[in-house]
Amino acid sequence: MNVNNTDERDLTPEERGAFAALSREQEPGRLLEERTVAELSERGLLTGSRSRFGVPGAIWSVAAVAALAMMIASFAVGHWLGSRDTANLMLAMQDRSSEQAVASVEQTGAAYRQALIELTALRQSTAPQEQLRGREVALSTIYAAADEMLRIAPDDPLAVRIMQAFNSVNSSLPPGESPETQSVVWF
Amino acid sequence: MNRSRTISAGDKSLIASVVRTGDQRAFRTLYRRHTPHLFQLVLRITGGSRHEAEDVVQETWVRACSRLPSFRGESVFSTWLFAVGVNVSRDRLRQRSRCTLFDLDENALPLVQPGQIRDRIDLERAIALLPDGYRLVLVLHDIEGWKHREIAEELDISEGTSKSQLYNARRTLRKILRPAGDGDHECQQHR
Repeated sequence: MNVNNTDERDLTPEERGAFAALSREQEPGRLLEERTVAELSERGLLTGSRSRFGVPGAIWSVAAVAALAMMIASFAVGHWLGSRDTANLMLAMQDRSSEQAVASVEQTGAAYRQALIELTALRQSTAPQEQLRGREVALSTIYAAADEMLRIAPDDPLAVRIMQAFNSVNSSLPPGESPETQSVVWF
Repeated sequence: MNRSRTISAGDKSLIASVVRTGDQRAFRTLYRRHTPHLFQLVLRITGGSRHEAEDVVQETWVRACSRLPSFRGESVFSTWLFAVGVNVSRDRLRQRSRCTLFDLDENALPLVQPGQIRDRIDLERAIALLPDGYRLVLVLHDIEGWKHREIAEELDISEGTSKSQLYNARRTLRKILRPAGDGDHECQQHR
């Protein structure tokens, strides 16, 4: 940009070029679209509830929350059953915040199951590609939860077996074919 | 920017679907078609904060959708949408209480490093350093191609004020971009 121009009123050709070279478009954050749609839906300005994957967005939201809750619940149960440490178990049971967490896990776990039931029901009305997408998300959720559990408790037997099952399936896929669970980034 | 075109057939049918049935798919198509430009415009006007610009874009779509039934298609949809975005941006600037649309404290120029303006990024940064009111008019006129009449109409100011703001904006921008050793170094910190 020619910054030595003394004429304050008009742009020089060089300055025009500099402005013209500036980008006219830029992508905002990926979540903004979902945020905006949610806001518009809440205000009643959008009524169609089908997300870009053809499955109601609320189901995915519930599934996400529930998956997180299941991860916590699985870790808690695995820890209790695996260690069979009665003293720790008693201490944990006396801890009111833990009780509340477990109760929350039970509730959200039930919601997660309900979300999957609804997802199953949608099989009749959705395209095969959308069904596949739903399966991918569901499996990704389980995979991600098990993977996270292993980070928290590497010896947790349940998480280890889940991961072994996933790895077993992945290793049996033909070369070049990606496992379904790797095509969706959920967390 | 051709602001005299009429609405495209594609936008028209999408808008009709959103207005009639609140069709989410139609909205998402509209959103993806126009948001990148809207976001860039808002990002420049608000001074470069992506977080704030995203909030403004969201509010713009909310306002636009609530007013869609009154959109007659007499102008390009993007022009109408961006005008909404400009007003939401302006409201945001006012909320920040640093919108100096008609007044500039020459002593309040930001600290810059003279002689380091070499590319588009530097120009973007220099634009972001302008006072809000100057930046708003400069972005609309020199980057987006709005006419003074259109700016005046949208911002509810006179054409003369728009021209004056642009004059001051360019002058200030040149001061910011002036290389080291050139002139009186007015672009350096005055505070």
